[in-house]
Amino acid sequence: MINTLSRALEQAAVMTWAHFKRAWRMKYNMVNWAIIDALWLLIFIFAGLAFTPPEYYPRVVPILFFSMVLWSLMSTPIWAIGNWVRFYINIGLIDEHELAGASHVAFLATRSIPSTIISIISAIAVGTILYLATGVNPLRVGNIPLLLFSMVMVLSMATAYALIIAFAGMKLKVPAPMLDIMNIAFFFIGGVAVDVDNIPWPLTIVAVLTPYSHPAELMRYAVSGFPPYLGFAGEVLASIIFLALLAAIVAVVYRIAYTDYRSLGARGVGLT
Amino acid sequence: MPLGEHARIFATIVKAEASFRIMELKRNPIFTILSLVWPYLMLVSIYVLGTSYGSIERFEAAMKVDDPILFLAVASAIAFTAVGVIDYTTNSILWHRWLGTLPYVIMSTPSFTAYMIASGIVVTGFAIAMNYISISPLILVIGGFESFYKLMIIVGIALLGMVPLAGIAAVAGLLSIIVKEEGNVLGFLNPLLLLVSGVFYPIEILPRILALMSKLVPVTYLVETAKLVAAFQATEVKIIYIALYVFGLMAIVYNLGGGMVIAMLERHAQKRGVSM
Repeated sequence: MINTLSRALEQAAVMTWAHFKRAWRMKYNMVNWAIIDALWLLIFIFAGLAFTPPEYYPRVVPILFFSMVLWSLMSTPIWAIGNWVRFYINIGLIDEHELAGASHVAFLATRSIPSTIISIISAIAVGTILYLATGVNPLRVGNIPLLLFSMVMVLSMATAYALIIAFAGMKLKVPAPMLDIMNIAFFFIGGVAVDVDNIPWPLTIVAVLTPYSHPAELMRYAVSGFPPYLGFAGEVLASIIFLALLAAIVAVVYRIAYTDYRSLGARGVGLT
Repeated sequence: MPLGEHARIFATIVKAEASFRIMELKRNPIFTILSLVWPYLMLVSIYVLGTSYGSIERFEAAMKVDDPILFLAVASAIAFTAVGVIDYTTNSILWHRWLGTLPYVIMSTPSFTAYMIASGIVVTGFAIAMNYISISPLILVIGGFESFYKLMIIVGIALLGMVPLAGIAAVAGLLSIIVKEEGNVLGFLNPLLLLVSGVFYPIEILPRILALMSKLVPVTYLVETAKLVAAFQATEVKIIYIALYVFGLMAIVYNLGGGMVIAMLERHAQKRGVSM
């Protein structure tokens, strides 16, 4: 048991190091990606502000800003894992890992760690531009540890979701970003962009059943003191339960995709 | 080679690219359906986000439009058309490299510049068709035939407005090959164009430097023209003509400039090779 755990940790450490090394080699690509992320976030933030009277900016800007940071943490793994799985298959990395007996799930999942650099760079850029445009400091936060906890939970859930659509994409022959449609739905009607209390019935049920809504409620509580829908303890518990559930779904979907890969070969799984 | 032969080769590439795009849609119905759903998703996303922090009346006043929902539908189609033109062009070059077919395309008889222009024409038409077919039912249901007629005018203007983007996209794609990165190094162009063009908000909301940049972007004029066509008053027809002249000018500047850069990058790629 200890040996298995030790080997898993060793693999994860080596894989993370390899991803960081590769991220450095692809640094222009990474900076480009951070810029892309920041620009998309700004498009949505300014669109949101177009509906908002300027006198509400001091209240709205910090929450809107951190909602978009959560969106960045939700969507970056979709590209870093979900889209990258095509590259993983096309250039034959999948076969090399299979032959080496390394875990495909661990290799893909550890890409989330260096990808957070993208969200950090883009958040800094977005915060600066938002401050220049509105004159409101978007970094005014009440509870920083709770904010960090909510972000780690969102990143972990997003990694699991990205793995699910990467493996589902292999089975359905649809590139993962096209399956990202659910992620956008989760963001807007699933209690991330908008607090669960403000979502009209019966969409409230959808929001409560959306994993991301629980760390998002904690984020709003941390930023503005807005009381969470299920209460503080309820939201923490719901976040942990949904994360465990997503991990279980990853295991099932991976098994299905892996069976296809073993029987049809890397080029037969449909993404080439 | 005689001019007629060049034209024949060019027409063959256009036909092949069009067949490829159509086959891709036929082969993958889920992909096709999702492509048609994206503009609606954008519309709903912006609406939900905006109305949860403010009101549609505030948006209507800020954008100076009569029907904000119809405007959001058209704006979403414009946004996804611009995204499509740039993404399809740049990704197709990278895709060739990933599959290992790029050296053959680069070394084949028709120049890569000819291939890029032919591909750009198809991709532009394709992106426009997909997005406007997608929103047509909504426009018909909400606005009736009058709005549908206006939409057709906007489609025509969009065709002209997207021409300069095709040149920009081709340069971005080739540059990715030269710097030997796995992705599109100028991928930020796409959201930058959308950010400064004010598709979903008034330009005045942007910081000054971004507001100034918006003047150089074709999509800005496309959005403004779409607003004018939606209003459709005789006094504004003159302004629409001015926008068309701007598109023509931008098409000449961006595509001629782009053509020269593409030819230079093509020579560079042939010398250095294009594999990873």
